[in-house]
Amino acid sequence: MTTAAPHAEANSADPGSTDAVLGRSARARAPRLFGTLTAKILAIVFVVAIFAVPLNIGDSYVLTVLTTAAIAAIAATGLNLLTGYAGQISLGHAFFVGAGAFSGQVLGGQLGLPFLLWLPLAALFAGALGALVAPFALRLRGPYLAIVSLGLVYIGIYAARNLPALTGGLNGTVVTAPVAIGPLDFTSLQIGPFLLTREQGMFILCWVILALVLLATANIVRSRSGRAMQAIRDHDLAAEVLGVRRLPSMMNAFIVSSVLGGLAGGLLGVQLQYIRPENFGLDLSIQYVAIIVIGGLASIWGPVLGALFIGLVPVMAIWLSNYLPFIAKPGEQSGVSVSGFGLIVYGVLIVVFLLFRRGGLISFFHRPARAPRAPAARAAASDPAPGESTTQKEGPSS
Amino acid sequence: MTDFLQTLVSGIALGCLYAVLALGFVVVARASGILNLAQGSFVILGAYLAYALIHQAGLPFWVGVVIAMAAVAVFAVLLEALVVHRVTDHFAALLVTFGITIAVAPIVTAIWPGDSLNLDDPWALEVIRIAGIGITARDATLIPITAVLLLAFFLFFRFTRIGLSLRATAIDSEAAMAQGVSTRFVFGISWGIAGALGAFGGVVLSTTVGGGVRPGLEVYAFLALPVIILGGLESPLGAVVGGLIIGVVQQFAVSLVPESWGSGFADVVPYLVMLVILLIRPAGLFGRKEIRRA
Amino acid sequence: MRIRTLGVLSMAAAALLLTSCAVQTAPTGDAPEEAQELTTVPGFDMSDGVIHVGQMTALSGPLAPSSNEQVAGQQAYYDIINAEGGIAGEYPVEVITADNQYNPQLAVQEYQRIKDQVVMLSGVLGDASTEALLPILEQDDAVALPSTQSSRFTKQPNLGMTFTSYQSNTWNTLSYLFEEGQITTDSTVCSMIQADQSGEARQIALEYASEELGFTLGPKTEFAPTDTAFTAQVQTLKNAQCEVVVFGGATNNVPNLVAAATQLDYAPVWLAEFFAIAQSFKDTDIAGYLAENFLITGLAGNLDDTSIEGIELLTEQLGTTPTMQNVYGFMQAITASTILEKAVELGDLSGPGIMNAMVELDKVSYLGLNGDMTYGPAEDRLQPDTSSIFAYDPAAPGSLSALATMYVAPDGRGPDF
Repeated sequence: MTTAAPHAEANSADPGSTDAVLGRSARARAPRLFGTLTAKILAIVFVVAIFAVPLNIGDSYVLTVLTTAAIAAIAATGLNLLTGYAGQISLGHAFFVGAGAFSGQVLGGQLGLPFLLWLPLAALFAGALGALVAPFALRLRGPYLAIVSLGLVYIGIYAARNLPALTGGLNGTVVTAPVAIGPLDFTSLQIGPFLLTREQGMFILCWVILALVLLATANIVRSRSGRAMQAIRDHDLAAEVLGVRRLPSMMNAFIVSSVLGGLAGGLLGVQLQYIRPENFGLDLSIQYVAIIVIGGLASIWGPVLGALFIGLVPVMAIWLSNYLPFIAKPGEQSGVSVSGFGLIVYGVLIVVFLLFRRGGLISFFHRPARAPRAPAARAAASDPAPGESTTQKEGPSS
Repeated sequence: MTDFLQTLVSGIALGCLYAVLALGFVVVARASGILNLAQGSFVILGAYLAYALIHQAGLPFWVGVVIAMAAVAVFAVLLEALVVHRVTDHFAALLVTFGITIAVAPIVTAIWPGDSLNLDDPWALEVIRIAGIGITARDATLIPITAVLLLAFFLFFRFTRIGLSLRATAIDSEAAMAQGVSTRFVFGISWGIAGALGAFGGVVLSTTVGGGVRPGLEVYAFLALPVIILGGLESPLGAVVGGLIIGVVQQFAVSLVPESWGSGFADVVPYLVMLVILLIRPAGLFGRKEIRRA
Repeated sequence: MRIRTLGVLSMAAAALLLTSCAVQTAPTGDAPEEAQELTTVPGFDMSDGVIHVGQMTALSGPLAPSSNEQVAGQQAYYDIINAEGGIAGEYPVEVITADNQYNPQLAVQEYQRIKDQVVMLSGVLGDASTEALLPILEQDDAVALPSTQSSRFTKQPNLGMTFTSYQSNTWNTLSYLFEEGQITTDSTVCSMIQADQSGEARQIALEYASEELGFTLGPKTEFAPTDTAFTAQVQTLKNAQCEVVVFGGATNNVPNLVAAATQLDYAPVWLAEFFAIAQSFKDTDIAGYLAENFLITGLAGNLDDTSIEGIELLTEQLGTTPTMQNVYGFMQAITASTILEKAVELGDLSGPGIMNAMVELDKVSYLGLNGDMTYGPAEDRLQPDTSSIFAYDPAAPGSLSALATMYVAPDGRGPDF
């Protein structure tokens, strides 16, 4: 536990002085959001793809997998903020996702609120839970926080099982919350003479929301509070000395992370159309941790890559079961099951990436750091080393 | 009154089981300073290896158990030396050990498929009855073993050279190295002990009264997490006391709590107890407050 | 340079969006004509005449061993009819399996993967998975046969049931015990169930039986599927001196239950379903307790009783004595085949066609393995009312020794059972 409070009081008497150190020097100015050409192109391609992919690929299975990956990416982005940028381990993210899912059904399904109301409210509900838990949880360090967050998951499942009026109890509940913004019903989107299937509509909805979430997260990370989080993650005593107070900063991270988890949960509910308490257990938390580690901690696109990768593992396993003898075919007893194979892949990759490639998948897309030409010319973020403190994809400067 | 005593006895037995599982975490935390989530893999490996040796190869029970414990100890030492040692910080170590458990469990259950395998333990379903209170033969053996383990730990850490090296390394590894203590040796021993303890825990969990050798055993190690938080991450005494507290409270809570509190309450009791204790003592009952240097 | 790049990009984007190959036009609202002849539909191709059905089950995880046996049982029936040419002697049936790992989230995803390759799902394991699929089946006008006894699916137009309900099984078994004198009006009967609909179903039947037969209703104790310590519940039951307990657990609960009961020296008659019994129990120490205290509800009769036509056929096809799970799967395949025969007769193997076939069907019979399932319009459908009752006997095939086969309570079916 730090004892920095008196120091912080003294030094943060003038907020301007902190800013001077953290904000105003040219070298340390917040990076522009789409600083490089590559970043701009990537963003445009991404936005186009959100619409081009479902319109050109009708296969409902592929679309379902990709939509689920988008939702997982939203949740993982939240976790990444807490774990990657703020450095707090949490094994309890599934709790907030579950809170979002069930509250979404209560607000949207039972109370009949429109989409533009129930989804944000569900996310805020999860955020409120995060705000309740945070002051207590954040006093703890490392392993203690990890275990307490694990406890949240179990307590959450217990609560969900025993509030059948709200959650359907042990069996769970069908999700009837509406997915329509005004006249646009995403479950059966009609554009002119064209009718989109549910899977196509949901794909567009979830990936658009993901894009907005990524934008918001990139902004948070660039902002003062985002840099404060990273400062505390990297060296909290020094940060406190500089006037960056730990608890408020961590609380911000925790709350935003919970809100994003709740948002993902609400979307997951309408995607699956059926949710039960067991869905939001340790397995789901494991999946999110695997996503951010494999995708790349403390990076914006990392969770997206990680979610796509993790989402494709079961698909790959089914495909591989025809070629690898140790994967059990249906009806067989011997060999590793498809889900077991998935778990082995997650576990091995978590270990491998943490040992050998801390930057995760996203680091494969980074060029190594170049020497800066001149301080004035580098208005964008100075090249970080591949790894933890990357905020977004860096490309070659043209 | 007999009901009360019965619940108490069941709680103590459960608590001893928790203590055995928790001690494995504590040993590694004292030595390496990390929370070793690979303990789960030790539990499931120990149980299945014991099954292979005792049920499949036909070795006598205790011989099989000891060999399984030794094998898992070796696995743990190798794991530490080859994998965990390379990891530089606690955060990553937590996740890496977690990844190991996730990966090991399906491999184990694929090699030995089946939903509940028979360990052929000597305790079977025997129940010892004293004054109307029944205690399973397994638990009747487990309680004294836990007491012996605790005593052994105490003596080991206090009075042997190796124990002294372990304590020295935990306090200040550089100073200990300067005194000629090999940290690799210390880590190796600690992890070996943790592996053996985990394997023993796995065996106890998969006896007949425990429910057999089955998939999902690795999650039982996580049951001990509230115990170590409650007792303090680095205190063996804390592990035992914490285990007993949680075991007893859990048994009483489940029997006394009204129907309306619903099903699955038993699963959350350990975490609730842990949370309550953390509110009062954030470092756990016997934990040391962290002294951090800049 | 930048403008050109952007220009190229926007052209590409426009091209991608405008081609939009996978968009269908909105339906103009004309109703499909009633087909009199079979046409190609998803899962059935006229050119090869093979009907594909889906089987969604838990191929991994702790339920895998029993699920695999169900799969084998289904396949055995299809092999038998394929040997005669298939449905209506012309169209062989092939099974495409999907693994939902007993997880509804994966059930949805797997359904999406196979739905265009099959005409219907001839098995879905897990009430939760079935519930999860129901809204999607309704959207897609598709049919699935849940692998469950839960009565809450019986009146759904998109679902086809096969088995006797939990309520009927409980009611029949209690009636049997009453008939045999093991329960009298002085007995106390209690329950140990999960807090879900299958548990509720058993409780409803128990309460009905206590009113009809006149015995005392004792405490209802609950447990969660992952509980391992049952001492609290057993203590409650013991203190209430329950002589018979209706138990709603599965194989992973039984060893812990027996351990707790032995420790507390409590030996009532436990009424369980056959899926609570695993083959692996027979060489463990709990076998003795099971033999003395468990009464089990299942299907058919002794698994080596080849006087039952279904058992005979299944044994021949498998080449060995079947397990109860094999029989379970076999029966579902009978349901699926009967429905498909009707659909072929009516000339429409599409989803709505199969739903229509179920409406036009009268009953499905099961070669002596269980009572008939009544079909027809969804609101008229009725599950069978027969139960077979077994004692636990490690020496018997499947560890089950039949005490009564196709038993129906003397007072008949219970209300909405």
